[in-house]
Amino acid sequence: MATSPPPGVLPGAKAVRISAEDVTVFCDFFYKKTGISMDASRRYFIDRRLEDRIAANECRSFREYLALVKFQPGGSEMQALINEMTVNETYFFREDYQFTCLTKRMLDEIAVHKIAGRDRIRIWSAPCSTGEEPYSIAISILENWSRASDFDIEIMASDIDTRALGRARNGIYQARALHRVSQRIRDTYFRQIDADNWQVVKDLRDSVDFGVINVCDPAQMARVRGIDVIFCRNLLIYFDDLSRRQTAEHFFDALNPGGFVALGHSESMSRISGIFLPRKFPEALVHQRPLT
Amino acid sequence: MGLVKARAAGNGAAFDAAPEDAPRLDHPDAVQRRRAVQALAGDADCVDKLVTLLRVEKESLVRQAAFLLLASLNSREAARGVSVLLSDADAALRNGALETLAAMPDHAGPLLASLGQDEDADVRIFAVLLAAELQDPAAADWLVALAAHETDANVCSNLAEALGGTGRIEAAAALTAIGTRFAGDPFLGFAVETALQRLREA
Repeated sequence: MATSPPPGVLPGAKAVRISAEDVTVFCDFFYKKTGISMDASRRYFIDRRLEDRIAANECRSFREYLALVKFQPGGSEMQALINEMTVNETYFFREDYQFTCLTKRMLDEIAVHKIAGRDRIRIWSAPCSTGEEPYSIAISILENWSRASDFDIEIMASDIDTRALGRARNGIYQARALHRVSQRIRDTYFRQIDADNWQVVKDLRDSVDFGVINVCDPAQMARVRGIDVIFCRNLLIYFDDLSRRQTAEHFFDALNPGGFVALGHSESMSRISGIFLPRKFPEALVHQRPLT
Repeated sequence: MGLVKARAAGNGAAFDAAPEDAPRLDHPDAVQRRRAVQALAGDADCVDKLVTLLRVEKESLVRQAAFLLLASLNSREAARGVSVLLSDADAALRNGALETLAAMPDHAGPLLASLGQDEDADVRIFAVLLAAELQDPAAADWLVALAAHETDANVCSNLAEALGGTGRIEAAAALTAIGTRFAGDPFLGFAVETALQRLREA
């Protein structure tokens, strides 16, 4: 009786086995490219995804695949690999106390140093994954910040996973991603497209500027300037100490003086770098680039 | 007013900021000096310039950028350059140097031998602290070797704490030797006994 090949293995192809040494080499390579410190103890997760990519490219060994990733013009396989290895599970209004802090505290402070009708306020969501966070930010501002109409507000959103960015731009979500969205907000900012899927309305989708940015890449980060608030939640936990410190420095440069960084609840800037001021608001602890 | 898309607005989106010219290292503004430090990445004389700067720079913002760049170089030359700062009179600078060396263990470890022979006891203390940070078998061996002949009480108190953290039973003899050498020093006696206790519990 014919049997099907395991997932990710082309018919007739021999599955490539990943050794412990391969995993070590891969983790080192992936870290240098992305700043993400893959834990070699997550062998099953890493092996499965590497085997899938090796099979998809019909490589005969891990070494052959690594050479392809390193030297392929255009880097499309490197991007495919990043897409496989990154985690994109999130939902709307996750850790929403920080959005409350944004609209109750941070934006008012930022507005003090801006001229209404002339200046822009720039908010950056990094990594934005499939878009739930930047859209939540946009909705929070429209719903809860009384001065939203006084300024042009730009919401930038970035990720290193292009597949996630594609989903973010489409703005289509299943019900489980909307479980914290009230019916009124759902009716206002989403349209139901079938039994289990909702799409963010076009006006809101068009208000977020999505792009590929690797926060560990100095050349890419040199292009990011003039930001007032950065949401970078649950990313730095995947980085090692050096990458965390480098990313903190990049954020400092990207921010305007007085700008804020909001990290995930388990992350602490004070353990990473001393260049930000901790700001304890009633809703959340955030980190501020000093005004002077 | 309200939400606008940066690129559609054609106003020079934040992702497309124009390249900035690097300012001078002696710029009066600390933020600009920090940018000058960052611009040294790739400079052939980067280590020398950074170490020279660190000797005179007082702003933490600039120092941290310099130390971070040195740590990211992760080279023998960078480790040697940073190790010189362990003898500086500025405690914050010495701590920054220690943290930076600990971030490049492959290049910092080989420096322990020479640091342990430094005439300045403070440098030897930082060498002990560095060895404890490295958590490497060779660094633990070096701690045991230094404990065999170190005569400065402050260095030995740091040695006792570091040896206690190695979890190695052969460190017990070195600790006992310190206790014997400073038999009249109650603090060192306490430090040695605490470290021996940690070894027994390891």
